[in-house]
Amino acid sequence: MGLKPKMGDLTVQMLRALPRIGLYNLKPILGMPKLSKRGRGQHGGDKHGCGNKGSGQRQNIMRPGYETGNQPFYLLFGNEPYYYRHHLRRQYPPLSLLQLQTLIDTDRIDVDRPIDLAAICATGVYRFFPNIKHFGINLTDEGIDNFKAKVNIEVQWTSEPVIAAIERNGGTITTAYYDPHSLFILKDPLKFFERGEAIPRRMIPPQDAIMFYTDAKNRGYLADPEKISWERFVLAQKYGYTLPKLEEDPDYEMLTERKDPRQIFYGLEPGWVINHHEKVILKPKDNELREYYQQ
Amino acid sequence: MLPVRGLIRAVKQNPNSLKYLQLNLLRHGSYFTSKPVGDPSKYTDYEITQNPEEWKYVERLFVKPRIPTPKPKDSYPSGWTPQTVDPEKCTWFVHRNKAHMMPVYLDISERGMRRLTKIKKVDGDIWAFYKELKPWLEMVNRGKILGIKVNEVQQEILIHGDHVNQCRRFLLDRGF
Repeated sequence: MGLKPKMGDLTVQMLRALPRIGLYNLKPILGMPKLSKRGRGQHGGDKHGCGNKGSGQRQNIMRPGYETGNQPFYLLFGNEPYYYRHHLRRQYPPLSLLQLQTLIDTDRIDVDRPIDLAAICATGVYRFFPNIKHFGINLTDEGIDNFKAKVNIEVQWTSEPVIAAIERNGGTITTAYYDPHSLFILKDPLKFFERGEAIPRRMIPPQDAIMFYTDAKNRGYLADPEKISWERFVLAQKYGYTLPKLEEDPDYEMLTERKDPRQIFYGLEPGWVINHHEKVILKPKDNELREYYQQ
Repeated sequence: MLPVRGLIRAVKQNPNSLKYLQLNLLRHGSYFTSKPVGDPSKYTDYEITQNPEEWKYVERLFVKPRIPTPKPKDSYPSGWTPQTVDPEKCTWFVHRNKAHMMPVYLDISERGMRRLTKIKKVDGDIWAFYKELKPWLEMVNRGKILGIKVNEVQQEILIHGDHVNQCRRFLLDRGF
């Protein structure tokens, strides 16, 4: 500090060094009116605001909600806890098959590539906020009769008719879980790359979701592929359509492309750092680190 | 009371006394915002790769700078169709919006009690459009007299009630 400090700087510096306000250094403002004390004696103190007789005078105040013998109001109706643990529940904002077909018809989504949450977020028409417990797409059956596209789609929640509608057209569907940290990354990948961090591992589903994502009927990403192909056949029998053969499809490689359970993006492994400015990918060399990311 | 004024006076008289007052104020940031500690060579080693095959997977993640113009197709299962009408032969014209959708909207106000159908981006003779739309809409609604407002300055038409699907059908039939 070569120059003479300004007055404002001095004050700030001093305020930083001064002790905090506490009970030991608090005092009333000068000139405050003095409050009158409780009167004593023959006429000075009558009831002191507590009235005559009853619970007021005896200071035996009733518990909150007690209505002196009536059935209390809070016990009249049964408890219906609609919002119980709402802060822990997972929300899946819906995306209908009609919306998906419209996106495909207007070339907002490329069918030649696998469609995942990142591809749908990049269109800008799907409202998705991971910070208010949104956990991904719920593909709903609206417009199911007009759905004609052949897609490889990965969603977070869906129903049986939707799976049937997609597989009837020769497409494939997977339900996959993403932890909130991965969801933020999928929503805006560019923002994540700009932070210069390594792509993290995707976490496994929580306890109450693991049954859904390991079930072949839901086409879960943790299910046995052989069981999934069996369930594809079963669903075709149930809904009465002939299942198009995936092996003979010209887009076989695209339709069977899947992410690793630890992977967030297609083709990009956890542990890599993406430098989108210089268009290079940094990969760790350390074997221990690579093992950690592939566990 | 604290002797604030006395302290200020003391510091003004002798600025060197400040250094006795200064505290070591640390801002405990997060791991990602902290500065690298020590020699960079102590960090884990990495290789820099520039593979176009891998970069394709990165590029597809980026949002397109513009909404693409839909390519012509044989069929549109979703019900969406591109405009087929020739604008030079029309007295009035309804443009598509930048997402290539029909600019027919439903305005809900008064806590859901008031519903207005709004047709925007009406170009050309808006009154001719009104004269064509009004009898058609009233015919579809079984002779019900509809309140329709023509906003010539804003190039939009407001219809009392929810007639979004009917208006979309009207425009679609005429190739807009």
